Amino acid sequence: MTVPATVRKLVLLGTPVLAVLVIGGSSVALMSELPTEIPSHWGAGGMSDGTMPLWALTTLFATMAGGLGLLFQSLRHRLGEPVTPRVVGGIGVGMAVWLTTLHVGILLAARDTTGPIPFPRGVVWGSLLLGAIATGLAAAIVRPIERHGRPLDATPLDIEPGEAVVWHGRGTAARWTWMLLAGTLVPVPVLVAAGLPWVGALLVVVGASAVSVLRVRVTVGPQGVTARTGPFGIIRFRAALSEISSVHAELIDPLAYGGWGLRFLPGVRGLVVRRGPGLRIEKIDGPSLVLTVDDAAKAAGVLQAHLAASGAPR
Amino acid sequence: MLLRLAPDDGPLHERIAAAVRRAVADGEIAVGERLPATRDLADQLDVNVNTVLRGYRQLRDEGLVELRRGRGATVVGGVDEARLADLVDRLLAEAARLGVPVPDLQDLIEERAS
Repeated sequence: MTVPATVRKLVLLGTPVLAVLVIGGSSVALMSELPTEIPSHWGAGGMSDGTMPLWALTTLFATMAGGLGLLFQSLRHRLGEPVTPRVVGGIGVGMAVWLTTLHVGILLAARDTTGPIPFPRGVVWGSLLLGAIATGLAAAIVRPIERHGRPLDATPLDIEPGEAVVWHGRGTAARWTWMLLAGTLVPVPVLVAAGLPWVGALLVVVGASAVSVLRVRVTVGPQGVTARTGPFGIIRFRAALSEISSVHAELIDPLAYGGWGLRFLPGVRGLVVRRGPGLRIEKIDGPSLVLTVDDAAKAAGVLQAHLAASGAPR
Repeated sequence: MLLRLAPDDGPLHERIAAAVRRAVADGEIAVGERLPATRDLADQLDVNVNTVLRGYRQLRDEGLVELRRGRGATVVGGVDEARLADLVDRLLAEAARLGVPVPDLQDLIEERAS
């Protein structure tokens, strides 16, 4: 997402400042309706068992939301490229939103009460959800990240006149990715036993869909490049030789493309299944194609040779 | 894996089978590896899918690959045979280039073997 620099700055730096104002403001506004000691800790029984004076609670939340929010923004560009600015910038805003909604929610739950109050489940989960959404939205507007990884030298290849050379290879996700996905299946028996078979089934479907796009098969030849993924290879990416302006191999970082799997981003399409070598194909017209594939240097060499042999000015 | 279809005017399915044989012989394709999907190879060579399938079937009949629906063609063995067949292919191609007829070539082989 490309947004004007002023909007970006306003969101990233404004949110923590706004959080402090809202936290302080809500405490002042609700002061007359609140008990002197605000519930701040809940035990296993579900009722609050610890309290804090309103001023302490407000200071704590305001310091965390504003301080951490701004600290994260200042660290945004110091922790390394290309992923960190997004993650750090997003989390800074997300934390400010989470802590603000949590603070206001606790005050509202404690309004007109004396003594212990039940654990405000809705407030806690709702604030986390809002924080997570804010993290994602803020991360999306952080300065567009540099996607190009370290270039790899293409393996040169000679093609005799009349010879047809085809390269075929594949890219597979790292072992930990598979294990992570296998882990999502662990709760399925529990969900089924708990009378939620549909949730279990949904989890299986989501897991299977994710698994099906963690493998890519790429064929490079005189006609260009074809890549397949998905169940039975039904998802296909294709670039005809005449559409390609240039190709090279480079190290691809999934986080620079917003994650793993099928990628549909402004100016780039493709399939990113792991960190490592991949093909980057620039088209004359339209989005680039990115494919993580083993031995990408060789694949790039074959495609470059075909491009050179086709003789079209590029 | 790299498949090189030699520039000659033999039937296309033969050239495809020969290219796979050579790749196996050169160690470019290992046992257990899968060949490109027929439709993708057909796409890249600008030929009919059935032509590629015919080449793959030939390799199956030679015991080099196994064809299974939905899984495509997998190299299952017969690497030594493929290497020998590839060497014969190269010998024949060189003889044809030099204008040496096949019976003369046979004589030459027998002469060398004795």
